[in-house]
Amino acid sequence: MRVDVRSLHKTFGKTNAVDDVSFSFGGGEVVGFVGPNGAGKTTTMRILATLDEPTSGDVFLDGVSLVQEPEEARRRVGFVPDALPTHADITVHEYLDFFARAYRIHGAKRKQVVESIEEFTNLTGIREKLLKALSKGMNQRVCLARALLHDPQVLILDEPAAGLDPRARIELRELIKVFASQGKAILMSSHILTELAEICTGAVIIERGRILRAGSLDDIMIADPLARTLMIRAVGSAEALHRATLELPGVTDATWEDDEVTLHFAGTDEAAADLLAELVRRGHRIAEFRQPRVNLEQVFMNVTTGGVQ
Amino acid sequence: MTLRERLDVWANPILIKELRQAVRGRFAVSILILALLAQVIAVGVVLIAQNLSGNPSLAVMAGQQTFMALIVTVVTPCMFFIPVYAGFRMAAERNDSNVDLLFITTIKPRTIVLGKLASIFAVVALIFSSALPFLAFAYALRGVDLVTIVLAFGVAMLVVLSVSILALFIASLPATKPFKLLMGIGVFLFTLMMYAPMIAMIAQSVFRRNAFAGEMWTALGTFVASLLLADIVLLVLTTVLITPPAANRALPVRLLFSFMWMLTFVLAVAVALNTADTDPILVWAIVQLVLASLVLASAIGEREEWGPRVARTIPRPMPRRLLAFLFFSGGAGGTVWSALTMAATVLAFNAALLVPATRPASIDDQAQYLLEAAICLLAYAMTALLIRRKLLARRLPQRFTWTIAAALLILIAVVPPIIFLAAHHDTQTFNDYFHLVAIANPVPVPVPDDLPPVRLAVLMLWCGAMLAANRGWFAEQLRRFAPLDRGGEAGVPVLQPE
Repeated sequence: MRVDVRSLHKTFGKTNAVDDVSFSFGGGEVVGFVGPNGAGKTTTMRILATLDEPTSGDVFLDGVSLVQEPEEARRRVGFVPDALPTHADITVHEYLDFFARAYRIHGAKRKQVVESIEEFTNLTGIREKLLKALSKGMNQRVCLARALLHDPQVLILDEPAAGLDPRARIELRELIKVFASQGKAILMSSHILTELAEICTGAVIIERGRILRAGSLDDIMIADPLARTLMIRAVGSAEALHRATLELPGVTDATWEDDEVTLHFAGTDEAAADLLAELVRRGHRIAEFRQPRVNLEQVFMNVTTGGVQ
Repeated sequence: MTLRERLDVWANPILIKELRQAVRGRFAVSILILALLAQVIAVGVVLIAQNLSGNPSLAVMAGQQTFMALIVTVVTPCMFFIPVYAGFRMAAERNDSNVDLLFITTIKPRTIVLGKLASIFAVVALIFSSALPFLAFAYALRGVDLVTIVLAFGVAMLVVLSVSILALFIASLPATKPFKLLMGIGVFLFTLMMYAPMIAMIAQSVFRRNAFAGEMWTALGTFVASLLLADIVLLVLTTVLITPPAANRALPVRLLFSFMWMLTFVLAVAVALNTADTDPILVWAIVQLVLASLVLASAIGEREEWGPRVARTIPRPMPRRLLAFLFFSGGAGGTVWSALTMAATVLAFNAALLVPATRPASIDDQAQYLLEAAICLLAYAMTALLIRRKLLARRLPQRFTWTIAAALLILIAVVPPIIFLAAHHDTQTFNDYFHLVAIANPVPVPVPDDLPPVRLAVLMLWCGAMLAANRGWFAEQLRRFAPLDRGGEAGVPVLQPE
């Protein structure tokens, strides 16, 4: 399964909720969809779930156009919205049975599908409980089960971990890992970036409807290669090394403490290698030269401005 | 495929869910117990009262009185509680997350509405069926025949379903809760209005021998047909209201209204011929003008371009595309459809009047009044459209264009005549000039015979000028109304021409 989001635009009046968004991901990948509130995450996800129509652009699910064949695309997508269902007086089993019917799963197959999904999502023990009597974590689990009924190859999860307690979050995380191992393509939004970083293979950072960064988690974590932070550990005091680095081209700022110099450097990998060679040529004794790995939170804070539309 | 398997495939998922919820919830059970208790008490009271009275003539009517007591006790809770229940259940389904989840399945809005309706029918049937043992008892007491029983319960069922459909419609409106509550109070009053005549009709049929004969059948037939027509319209409108905005929501409404236009015209002409009276045709024409103007008010705020999902269904051959332009969602198409419906109504009115033998003297005036009203309503709509496009494009959302039309109507058609009336009533000035002050009022104002009929000319001039000023709006939308180009670059669909 391949999901290709191509030049997606969505406007509400004069507001560009989604502005030229393009990215792609495949089966077995878990992509984190990250952005401040009002960035356009939910709108994009609703378009992917065929609930909203793009103003222009399209999404292809293994070549099936979401715009031209929404009915066909719907069979391939499972969607978990950020709001939980509010059906009163219905049990977990009846709720899942209802959606199985709505997906036109009939007869003995429906019974088999519902029971296997209940077992897979660990709902068998609470299948006769009313939805309104469930905790938020359990409700979220029911939502996931519902989204899996028609065996979709793409899962769109909008804030699935919001409001869950630690245990429920861990269980959800494990469940998502299982889905990925089954070859499903998963796009999930969350504000808990540390957790996203633990299960995602890629990320898309969006703000004001525009993609700021997209790619594999490794690519994302290496912050802008032309505005990187380098750490140099000298043998002995770093004071002289600090002075020297400030004279070198590409260094925009540098600080030192004990035997370490941390500098901000604007340049390519080759320029960084030249910088190291120059320092060695000048007689500085370097014990360590590295580019610290940043985490998703840092990248997010660096690339976003916090602006909303 | 076995019958059970077939039923499983055909079964409406919403119906099954609703019935399960009804069984689990307290409402259906409570109302069933309430109805049973009421029946026991009512039958007991009737029988004891007859015994105590000692009047032998009353004993003859024991079956009839028991039946009436039963039907009142069964129908009353159904009429007043079931619609409330139906409205709340629909509102719950309309909850954003719930309805979204339904629309990512293969379920259709039509299935949702029909499923709700079927579940209401099932609950009402269950409550009615609780009266069966008592009905058998009433039948055994004599005085009521089976036809009366079936018809009485049939009419009661239809009325309960009709009020419930109205409740479903109100619950589907994209309005605030206070507004819906206000509408709910309106439905309650409407229910009260329906309740008394219905009980009276049933009582008449029960206590009169051969009641369901002759004129009673005509009255009943008219009543049932009117309710069914209203139900169909409300069901279509409810379906449209819960359809996602990206869909072609205008199509079913305009198709239904076009069909109803023709059907009701034939019926009106038939009644006019039968009664040798043109009033049914006049009433028909007025109702059609009102309906067309409501569509017009909605159309001037509709979309001006089509999303890919609607565009992919636009026909490619030009004649079919032009026809589709009238029926698809869209401001210009809706305006043209309304204008054509108004024109067709005026023409049909004139044509129909050639048939009846009797022709009242005032008929020419009526034809002219209808024409003037149609032109006047179109002029207001076109003026509102022009104001929104040219002056308020950035300030007023497109969908509220109708508010400008309403404001203009109040400012031009309502306020000046009221002021003039207050200042000059009972004077010669009033008689001479009131028709001029009210010249832009869609409701006709008689013009003194000695004065030239300038109203039609003024309205035509105004409407023509507004249509001319908006011609670019029509032309642009007609140009944009094109099928989706499936051969767009890199597989990305583009609307053509952009």
